[in-house]
Amino acid sequence: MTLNVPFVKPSILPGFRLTIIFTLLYLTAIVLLPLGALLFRASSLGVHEIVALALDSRTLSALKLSFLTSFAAAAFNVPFGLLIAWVLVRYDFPGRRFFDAIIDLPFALPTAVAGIALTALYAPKGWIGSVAAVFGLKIAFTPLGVFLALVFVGLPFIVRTVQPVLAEVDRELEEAAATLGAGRLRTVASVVLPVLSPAILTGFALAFARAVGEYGSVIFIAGNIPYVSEIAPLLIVIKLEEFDYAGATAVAAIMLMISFGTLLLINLIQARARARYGHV
Amino acid sequence: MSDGSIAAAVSLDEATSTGGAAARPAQRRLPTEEAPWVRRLLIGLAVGFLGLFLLLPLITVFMEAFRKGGGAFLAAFADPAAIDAILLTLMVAAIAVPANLVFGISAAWAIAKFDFRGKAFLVTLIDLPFSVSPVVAGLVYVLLYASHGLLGGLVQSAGIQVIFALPGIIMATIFVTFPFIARELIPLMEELGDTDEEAALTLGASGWRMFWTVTLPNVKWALLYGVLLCNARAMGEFGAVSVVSGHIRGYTNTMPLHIEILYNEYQFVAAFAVASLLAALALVTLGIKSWLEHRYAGDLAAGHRH
Amino acid sequence: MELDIRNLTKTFGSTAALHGVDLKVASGELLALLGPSGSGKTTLLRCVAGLEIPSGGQILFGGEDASFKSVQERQIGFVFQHYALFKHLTIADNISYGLRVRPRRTRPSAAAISDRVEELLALIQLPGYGGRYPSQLSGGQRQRVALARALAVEPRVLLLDEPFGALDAKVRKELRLWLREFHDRTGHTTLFVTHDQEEALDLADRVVVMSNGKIEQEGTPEDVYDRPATPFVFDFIGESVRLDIRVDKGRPFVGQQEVSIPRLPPLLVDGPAKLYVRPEHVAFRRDGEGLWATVVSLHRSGSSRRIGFRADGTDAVIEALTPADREPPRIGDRAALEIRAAGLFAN
Repeated sequence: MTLNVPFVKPSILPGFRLTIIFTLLYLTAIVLLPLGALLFRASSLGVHEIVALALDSRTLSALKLSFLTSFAAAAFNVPFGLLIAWVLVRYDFPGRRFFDAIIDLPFALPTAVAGIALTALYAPKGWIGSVAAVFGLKIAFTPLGVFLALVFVGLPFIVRTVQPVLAEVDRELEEAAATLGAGRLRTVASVVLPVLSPAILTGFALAFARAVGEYGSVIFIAGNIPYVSEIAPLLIVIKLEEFDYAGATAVAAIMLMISFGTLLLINLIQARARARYGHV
Repeated sequence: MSDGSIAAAVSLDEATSTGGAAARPAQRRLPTEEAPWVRRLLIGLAVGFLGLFLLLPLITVFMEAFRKGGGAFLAAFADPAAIDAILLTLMVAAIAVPANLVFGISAAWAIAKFDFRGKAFLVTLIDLPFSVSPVVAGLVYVLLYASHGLLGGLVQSAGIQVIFALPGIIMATIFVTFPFIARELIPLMEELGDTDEEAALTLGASGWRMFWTVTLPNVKWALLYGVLLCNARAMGEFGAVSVVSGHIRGYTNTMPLHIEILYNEYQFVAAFAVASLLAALALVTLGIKSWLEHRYAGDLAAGHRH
Repeated sequence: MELDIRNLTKTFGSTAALHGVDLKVASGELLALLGPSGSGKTTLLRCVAGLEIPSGGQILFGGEDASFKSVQERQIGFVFQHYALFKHLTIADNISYGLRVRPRRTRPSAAAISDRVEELLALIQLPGYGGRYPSQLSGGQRQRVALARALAVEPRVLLLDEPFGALDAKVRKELRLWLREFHDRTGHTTLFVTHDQEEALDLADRVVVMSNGKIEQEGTPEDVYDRPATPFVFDFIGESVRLDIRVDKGRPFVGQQEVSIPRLPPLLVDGPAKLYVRPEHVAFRRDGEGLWATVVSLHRSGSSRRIGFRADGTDAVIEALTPADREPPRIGDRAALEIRAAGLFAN
């Protein structure tokens, strides 16, 4: 920090001091201080204790369930999210605007509402649950139910990150591939998909990060059977109810590290894509 | 590059060009289009997927709410606890949304209109609450304000109850809805640039006047959009509020928490009745959002969603 | 491979982009499609490529009807205005793309493909660039890579859409010369679209001038510049002034003066007509025979001087060019104009 570099570039517009001070104060009070409290708690626990708490078999199986189902749901959403983004961007059909709007339903619908609705739907007596029961498949109160709830939660992330990029894909690229003899499928796979891949990865990471922390949509359908369908966020709630603040903090710290790691990964993906392909 | 190698390729397709003398070639499809049956199949798959995964849960909410008729539906709202929950939810949103509105405008002004060191880092910090589990969001407030928390002693000596009380619910709600409005405004205001404001200043407008007459009208649709999303999330937040509320019926129960209690008590119709209210709010939010996107596409920042 | 376009029409919705275009391109010819934007030149090129579906007519490649063929089957090389290089692929992978997507039985071996890439890189004077990405190349280099990519598949016809449109003036000129030499060496039948008359006249064996979805004139650069067939071509190519004149018994009159213009095709209809005159075809003397006029304006432009004359008894202003180092007349001077060539069109 050299003194001759000003903190802010001079501008004739007023209000910088007022707005930046308010912004920083508000950010500190609402976000930084509380998160700092968690980090302080976690650091007073020490790495050793956090690891010990995480290696507790019930915690471990909850973390495993959360991360595996989240990963599976995000991965499942990739092809379907791509398909939906493709259909919404490239085709015109009756109801297109309606379906485009409904993509954001998982963002707008309160998680508790989604949770009980999904449970009603997939429970043995529900519309889908009863059909699945015919095939001897139990969905609600199993990891499969957790997975399906996370598919619901994660879908818009993939669609909404891919959609604008797909809309911007230069049609000339596809035409160029066609003039060079590539068939339609080959063109889409070799020319369009690579352009979309950073967006797909970003969408995947966002869906994954959201799914790992998801609570309301999942707890109803999960049934919360320890070692079977108990998710990590629920474990925090349980530990809090037992006034086990250290345990709750440890699980939260692990989850935070994973989600920040995911965010970092997203930024790296995007930076790498920019550096390599540039803007041609 | 002789023409000799071409002959074979040509003869391969002679069969298809037997109608060579026709003045009007049959309608082929463009090289960047899929065959109609492929298109129909893909549309069918996408619509089927959306129907199964998004529409069916939504329909279920309303079906379950009216399973035993309108009377049972309305009975859910005769419960004073339901009324209390609705009022509390409205109150929380009425405080959290304006608070984040003021913050969103302030942050967007500082970030979009000025260049300062650490700007990118500040933007990352603003996005932070999106990547924190709602349960963790609730937990951090408990760790901070509970009786043995870092600030617990402080607030207790001031006679304020934060955790298991209204202030905690409001703060947790503000935390989870924190980025919505700022995130809608920042890209749009960056895109718009400073020229309008500079023009207003050169014409002699004061800072406030410039803000009310130039900046705000320019971003009003994005602002409305952000407020809508923020409000929907504020009214529907479950995890964070659940952790800080202590589930005190009639006192710290918001609508989502009330739904949980009813559901766990097997009062399914009542639970879905209250849920249908929130689902209707979500649908209205989506409807207005879709309308705004369609009508004022240019006034919302390009390529920026959710 | 020669190309034969017969009565080609194309409508977009209710607007027609091409009205029955007939055009023959000889094997090995370098042909320019010249016209303003909206003249249908790019649509014509894209129809030939198979990127647009014509509403009617036929396109024959080497005598065979290709109208029903898909773009993949036509074996054309197409160079896009903005190159459309695949930015996630290296230069070598871009160039070899058309070979690698072939079905296995017609696909060359990996070694043959890499030899071909090296050969093409040498041809476009970018040897050693195979491992780079398009974003690391300049505009002119990208243009040449796009050309190499199109040539890799041994196209029957090479189609270029505004090939120099996205380049700055200096690179444009260099690349134009390079393309001409390149064509002379490789001898591909080539069609290119341009709105730049200088580019078309400089580069092409034959120029096709288009306007409003129709061919106005086709011919050598000399033909279209020296003997424009329509008022549009006169207006669009080179400089000219338009004079409203009168034809009486087959002879043109400017005001009351008859003008004699050599090699002017006889106009059979008497009455008002339009005369197009290029400044370089106008000479002036202080005395003698000619169209008498008064100097009304003088402008210096670069190495020459532009002089405006008003013909006696009319409002018509005729321009002439003289070298800048020659003593100019003064405003108000009288002169006799000699018009060495002109175009005459009935109203």
